[in-house]
Amino acid sequence: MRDDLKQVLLDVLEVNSITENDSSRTIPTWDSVRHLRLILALEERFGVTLDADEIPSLNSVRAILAVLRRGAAAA
Amino acid sequence: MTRADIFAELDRSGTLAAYAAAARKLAPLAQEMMPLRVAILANHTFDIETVLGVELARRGIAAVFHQAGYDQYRQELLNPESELDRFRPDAVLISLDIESAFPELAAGRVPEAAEWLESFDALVAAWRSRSRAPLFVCDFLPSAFDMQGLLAAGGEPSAFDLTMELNRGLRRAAGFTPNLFIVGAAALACATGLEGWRDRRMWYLARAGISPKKFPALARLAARTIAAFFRPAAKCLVLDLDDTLWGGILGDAGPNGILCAGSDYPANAYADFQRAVLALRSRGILLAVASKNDSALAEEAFEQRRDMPLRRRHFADWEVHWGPKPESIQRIASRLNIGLDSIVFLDNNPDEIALVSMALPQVRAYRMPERPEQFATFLASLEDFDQLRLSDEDRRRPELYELRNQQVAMAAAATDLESFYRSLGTVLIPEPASEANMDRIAQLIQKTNQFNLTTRRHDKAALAARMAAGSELWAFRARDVHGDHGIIAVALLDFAAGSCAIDTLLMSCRVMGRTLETAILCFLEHRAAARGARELTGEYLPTPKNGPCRDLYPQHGFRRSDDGNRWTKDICHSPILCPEWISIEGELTGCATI
Repeated sequence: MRDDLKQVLLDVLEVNSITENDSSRTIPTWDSVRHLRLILALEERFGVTLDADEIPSLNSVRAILAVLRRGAAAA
Repeated sequence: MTRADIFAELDRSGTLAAYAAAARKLAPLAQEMMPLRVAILANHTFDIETVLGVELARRGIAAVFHQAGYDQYRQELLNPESELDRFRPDAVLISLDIESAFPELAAGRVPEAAEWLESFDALVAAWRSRSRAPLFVCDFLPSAFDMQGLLAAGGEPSAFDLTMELNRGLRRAAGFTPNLFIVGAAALACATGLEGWRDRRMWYLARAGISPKKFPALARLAARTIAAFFRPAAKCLVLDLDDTLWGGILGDAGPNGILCAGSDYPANAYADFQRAVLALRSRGILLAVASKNDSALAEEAFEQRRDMPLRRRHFADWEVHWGPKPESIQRIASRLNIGLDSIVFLDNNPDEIALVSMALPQVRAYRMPERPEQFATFLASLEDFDQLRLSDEDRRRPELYELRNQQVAMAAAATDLESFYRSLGTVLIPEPASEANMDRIAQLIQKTNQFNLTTRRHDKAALAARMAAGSELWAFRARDVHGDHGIIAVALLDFAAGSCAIDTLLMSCRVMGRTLETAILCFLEHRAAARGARELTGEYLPTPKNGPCRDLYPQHGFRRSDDGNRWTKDICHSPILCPEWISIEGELTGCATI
């Protein structure tokens, strides 16, 4: 996982380690409030804007990686 | 990592991710800050905790938060058994969203503000009855859209009108409710572009009325407001002069060369900075100068440049010399009787800032911005002067200090004046009128207005006639260490039946205020005695200009006689003494011969 993404996940979710296999199911602090915090932090950090309908489904590291790759390809 | 390092890193990006990182790094430093229990209430989703915590930490406050449940703010404030009460907050932050408070707006109906404001007053009163913890209310942002469309153009009430009315009502309530304060979210949002504050995705996904991307800006304002309640404001602003209060170096440019007034850049920017300084003064902040300059020249600059907004009298204290500024600031603190920690020091020289910061770490020393156009906004941005309310005492404080300074100056002048007089070594030389001095005597009689007891404009012929009839005409010359002042005073004395009347007594305004008039009266009393008079009389005939000599006779032991303008003194009864610092040339024989 790229370092800049990892750092945002660690800081916003307040955990000390995270892998590509983690999701809101494996990380207790990743609740619905924290999820929105995370999405907005990612938008700001990586200069993307996500649609309302995809925001709830981005509740895993893998899904986030996919959407950021898509954003990078579009740019 | 120190707090300064953490904030320097945060401010490089200022993103939400950076705030999350900063919050984690700040957590272990909590014990070096002031602890504060902060409850957050809202009628919408308001997840500002992390960002607010960081902004409070920036102001030396380690906050512990209680976040009330979604839209539970009314229950929390009303219910004595609420979680809010159990949390025992030191401060309560409330955020209000207009769409949550008035769902009917979405359908194009605009309700009245009064009913909501009344119920809010009741909530505040209920809370106030149980706790003294201050309430900080973020006022309403305008709604994201208005289903009234353009009807407001035709005079219909709009959602925007409702917002403004509610916010005005909240501000009014803050004006008379103890410990209720408004965080001006609406003004902040409007100043920075309202659109970014409303994220419709966050509204529909989570009922968040304010986009978290704007939390840093809002948290800064909220933290600033909260900190202002718990931290005493600075009391005194100590300013440098050159390139701070005015542009240019006074010693090089002179009073007329410094830039501080007018409509041209950069003088207008310096003038605006001075106005901003005056605005602080009207809020009760004392002003002082700490400058490396020639004090007399700096005084002269304030005297000559009446076109600049600041006056010398606006400063409660003054340290202008070539000595070190930390010592100047210490003297200012002790004379004004305030702590070093309530002093803000501004200078354009980074070395002075460094020196003061090192010697007096309690003083809040800041370097002025690079360019004068940034000065006024820089001063406005300083949180050190944040006050939430202004007392009458605050408003009056600068005038009280000004008054005190005047009294101190007068007292100092009274003791200094004597040594000043002595240093002059004044000699008064009486001369009888003669061919040699008659022109000058006549000229003084025609010209003198201020120190002229009777303003009788006798011409040379009239004077000659009076002398022929027995009157005495005297001219007085004065000399001191600076040289000969020539004839500076004239007196005309009439004699009749044991009485001497002062028909004319005048003195040039160039030598007023040196007690020469006392020496002259002393001489006249002796002359009258020498001529056998038992009383000396004088008149004071008021004119629009001769106020300066109004009290001459009563001040020298004359008593008023019945007609009001005539004053009388018994000759050689407690005679008028010549001041020690003036010597009268020639012999004074009158009283001694009686």
